[in-house]
Formats: sequence, C-alpha cells, structure tokens
Amino acid sequence: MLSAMRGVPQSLVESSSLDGASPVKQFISIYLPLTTPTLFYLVCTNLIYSMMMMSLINILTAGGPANSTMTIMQYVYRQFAAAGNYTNANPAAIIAFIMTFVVTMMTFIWEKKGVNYS
Amino acid sequence: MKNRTKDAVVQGICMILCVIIISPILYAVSVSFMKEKDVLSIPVNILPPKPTWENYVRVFTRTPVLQYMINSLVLSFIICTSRIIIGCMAAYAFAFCEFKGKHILFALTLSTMMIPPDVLVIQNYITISKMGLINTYLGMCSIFLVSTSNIFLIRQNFLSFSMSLKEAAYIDGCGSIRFFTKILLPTSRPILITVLLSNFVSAWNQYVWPMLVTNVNKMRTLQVGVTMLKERESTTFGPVMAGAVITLLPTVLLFLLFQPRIVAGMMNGAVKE
Repeated sequence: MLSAMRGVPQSLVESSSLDGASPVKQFISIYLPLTTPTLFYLVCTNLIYSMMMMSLINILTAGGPANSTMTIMQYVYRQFAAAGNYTNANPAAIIAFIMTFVVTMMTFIWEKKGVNYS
Repeated sequence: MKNRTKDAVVQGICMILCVIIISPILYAVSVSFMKEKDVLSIPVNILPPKPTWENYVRVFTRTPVLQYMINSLVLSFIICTSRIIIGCMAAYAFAFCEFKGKHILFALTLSTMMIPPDVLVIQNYITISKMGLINTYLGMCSIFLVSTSNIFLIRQNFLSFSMSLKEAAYIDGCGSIRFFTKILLPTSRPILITVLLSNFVSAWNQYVWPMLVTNVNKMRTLQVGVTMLKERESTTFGPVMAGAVITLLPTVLLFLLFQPRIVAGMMNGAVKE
C-alpha cells in the first residue's frame, strides 16, 4: 500500500490542493481511486488467506463455546486430526475450496467495474 | 502556531503507538544482555542491571551459528531471485499478452493459493524424499520457488502501466523482450523492491519445511538453529533471545537499506498527451 501511495503523481495532489480540496477529499477522490489495483490485490489475497486461516482459531478458542466460533478449515482439521474421520474431512475441504473460489471470483466482478488501471 | 501543536500531538500519538508495538522486540534485545538470574527476578528488570556478552558468546560457541546464517542466506537468496524472475515474467504474460484461455489460466494460478499449505506438507515431503533431495539446498527451497501472490501483485502493477508509453515503444520498433527489460522493469522498481522485501522476510522466517527436509546439523537454517538453543529441562531465555536478535538483524538491515528506495515519480512526464 505504501509503495502504491508513493506512486500517486504529486502533480495531481498539488493541483487539487490549489483548487482547495481538503486532505480527506484528496484521499477519497485521488489516492483511493489511483491505488485500486493494489487495493484489489490486497482484498483478494487477504480474503483467501483469512478463509484458509486455521491455527489462530485453533489456539484461541478451538472452535469454542459449543462450536459457535468454528470455521470450515477448523472443522476439516478436527475431523482429520482429532477424529481421524477422513470421509468427513475430504468433502469439507473440497467445499471450502469451492467457497473460496466463488468468493474470489466475486471480487473479480469488482475488478471489471471499479478498478482503474492507468 | 496552531498547526505546529496539532503536528506535535499527532507525532506524539504515533510515537506512543510505535513504542507499544516495538516493545516486545526491545525487551528481547534487553533480555539477551541479561545474566540468567536477572531474567526471572522479581521485580522485573526492564533493562539489564549488569549487561554481559555472555549469551552471545554461548550462542557462538555452542552452535555453528555462522553455518546456519550462510544456509539461511543462500536459501533466501535463491528463493527471492527465482520468485522475482518467474513472477515478473508470468505477470508480463498475464498483463500484456493476448492469448486463448488467459483468464482460465489466471484463475487456475489463483486457485493454487486456495489450498491451505499445511495440507500439502506430507505429500511434498514424500515427493522430495523420493527425488533424493533431503539435506540439499534444492530440496529446502524447491517448494517456495514460485509464489502466486507475487505474480498477482506484479500483474496488478503492470496493468496500471501507461498504455501510451507501451504503444510508443512498439511503434518505435521495440520488441517484447527489449520492452520488458529496458522499459518495464526499470520503471516498476518500487514494486520490485516491495516484492523483494516481503519475499526475503517470508523466506528468512520459514521454519517447518527447512526443519522437515534436513536432518544433519550442517544444513539447518538459523530459525531452526535458534530452537536448538533451548534446553529440554530448563528454559534458558538469555541464549534463545540472543539467537533471536541475531536472526532479526539481516531483515532489519535490509529494511533500512531498501525501504527509502520505494520512491515515486518514475512515470511522471514520460509521455506528453
């Protein structure tokens, strides 16, 4: 994000401040639209990584009180490692993959509409 | 005058946040200089009462730290260069070339990110051991040679490259390879430095995989070596912290060296429209 922000041309920022744009306005109308390619990358990868996140939940709550904080990856892990129930773990892992894939493809719709390249 | 007080308040808040975030690392540095009895004493010592080099001497005499360091550096160097070269070339294809099934290929590339890496560890180990690559540098770095997220990040950057500049280059008779090496790579230096930094840190901090594929002391990396300073019966915090500080140094140095080089204005005024 830092390298993207530094890549925003200073001439745009200067001319907008000459026209009396406030820093907040500058951030919303210049910095955010011009850094959408990087923003899109971050949203996409972080979405995938947090869908795949397992160890943190395992350590903090272990699915905790009455399975209320369980995620699908944690379910896979528990079926696989704790119960040894491979027939449950395998389809759950495939479902997790499909879920992640669908959500990621939905962010690509945003890429078509809202991401400005050059 | 009002602006200056506002600045001072903002700076102060930033400094406090910075100290809170960095305090565990500073405490680790401080512990690495303490004698063993000072570490767990009550009241807690924030600064070492009698600073010693004892812990560092112990790290250097008890383990072949220099060998570990060379291993880690070789590993990180191979991983970084291969990831950057392959990432740039793949991203160039995804960003500029038009060919059949590009979107499907890109979706397939992304989908490799959606498989949790922990699931693959056992299968990878079987593959590597059957290839006879246990205890070799190639075996240790072979599963990290390509990174999908790098390809994605560099592609995003290439897509925002000025199209008129590219067209101007093509009209002047600049081929794909010339354009890639002479125009595209020099102008996207900020993103390459970002990728280099994040790759170096992630390669340097690899723990599970280098530990799995090595079983002789000579091939261990620094991260694995630090855990061997811990004794089974007692907890010796001093040497472990000294090892952790030694491990921390190259990353900090690299950040200090390269972070100011992420500069703006590479593309400003390249084309007159």
